[in-house]
Amino acid sequence: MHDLDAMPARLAAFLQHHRDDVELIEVTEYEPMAGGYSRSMARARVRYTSDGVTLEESIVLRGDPPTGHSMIETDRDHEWAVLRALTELGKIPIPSARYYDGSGEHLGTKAIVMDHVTGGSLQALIEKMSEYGDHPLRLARLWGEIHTITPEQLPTEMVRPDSWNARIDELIATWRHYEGSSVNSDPTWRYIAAWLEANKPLPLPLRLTHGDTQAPNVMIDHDDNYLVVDWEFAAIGDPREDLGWYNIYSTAAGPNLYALDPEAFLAVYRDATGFGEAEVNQLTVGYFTVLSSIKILGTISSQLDKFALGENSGTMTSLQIGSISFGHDNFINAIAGMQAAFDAMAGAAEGTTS
Amino acid sequence: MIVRPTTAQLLRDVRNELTGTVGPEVHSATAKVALEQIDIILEQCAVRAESEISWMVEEIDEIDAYAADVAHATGDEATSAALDAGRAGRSGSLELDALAGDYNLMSEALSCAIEACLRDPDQRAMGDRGIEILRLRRAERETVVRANWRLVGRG
Repeated sequence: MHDLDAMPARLAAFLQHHRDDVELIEVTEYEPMAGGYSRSMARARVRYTSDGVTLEESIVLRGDPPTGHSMIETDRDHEWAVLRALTELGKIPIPSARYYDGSGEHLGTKAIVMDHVTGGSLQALIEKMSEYGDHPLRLARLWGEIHTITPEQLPTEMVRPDSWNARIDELIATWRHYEGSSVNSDPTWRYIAAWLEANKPLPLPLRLTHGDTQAPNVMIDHDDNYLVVDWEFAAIGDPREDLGWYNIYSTAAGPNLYALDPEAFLAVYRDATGFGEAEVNQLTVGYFTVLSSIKILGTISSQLDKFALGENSGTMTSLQIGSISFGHDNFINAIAGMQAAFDAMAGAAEGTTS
Repeated sequence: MIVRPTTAQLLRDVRNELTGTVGPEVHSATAKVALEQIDIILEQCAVRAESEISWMVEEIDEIDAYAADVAHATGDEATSAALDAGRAGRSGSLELDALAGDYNLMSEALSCAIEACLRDPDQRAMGDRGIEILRLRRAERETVVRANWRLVGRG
């Protein structure tokens, strides 16, 4: 995927391997795409010729970066399995995932070939807007729709937590795991883990979680439909993990469509999922804003460790020191705010009973 | 040793050169993103070069005092052990790599001290003091180090 001179021929051969009904497949353009942080992305223009008829289209390749230049490590096999399951299920709008080179034998690295969405991302759209129209509530409903997918509807190879508590404990332990194995001792992460352990919210049923809910991962096609991409972090977890990650990511790289009017956002989300206000409210979103971040910050941290040990490099990875420190700042403040709210509620309850 | 221009000044000059001379000649979208990322990282390096040694020295002393107070107040063994390890392992050097090692060792004592306070409701005030060290000394300084950081080229 990374050899730009060789790729047109390699990709054409790969596509021909899957399309023996087409006489001739040519790749007329191939270029890397900016905007994919975790994976290498490329766009290709493909010409199909059969019986004298020629058709052209663009497709997208999504593969692993070159060895030693990865900002985060994720599993393409897992992502492909999730994409196939979602395509068959047909409940969540995604660009069609067509083919997979699971060995890297054809495309030089494990890579997924999918439809090209020509309309751009929700991020690119809202960055240009001063008023966001119905996008905040559409996004709330989209996240809610993902969270109606139950574990029974998902591939059997996806890890199934034993219980809600087991899932939450696993995520808290993940904070400690990455801190303990890092080249940097991080008291903020240890404080976060201890606080999360002491302040668990009410449980919700486990559901499909996207894992990287952010506006750049929502594409908009020319019919104004939302399409969700980048499923590499998909898991079975607490649905609020996604609300929390959306909140922290969009605070770092706004606009944050949740923060504009959290109550309106959550009302639509609750309507889409059927979840109650006791479980889905601003405080529980706050809790999961902190908790869920470890899924991505942890893998970023381990890549920075590799950088420090001389096993990884790249400006994309270096830039993520800012992501870690942005988390520190925001999580300390978020916990202070939530603790103040809990103290006030405890004080009010004490006043009522005394 | 020629110490002026300082490291920070040199790095910022490289930034200017990249932005003013190299940038306009770069036309590929991916290279432009890389150049913008390099600019951010250079500014972060400039900020760190100016202050990180003095910040680490200051924090090591502050954590030492705090962890000692927590160990005394709570009798927490993990805090005492981490503090002892931090003191015994301290190189006292201002060489960056050695100092980073000292800082890491003492950071473990801070982690243990805050955890001990969170486990004991009677130590709320002591815990808040530890969290203030996190907030004022670490998070706010990290904000300074982030400088012009943003997630360039996303989406």
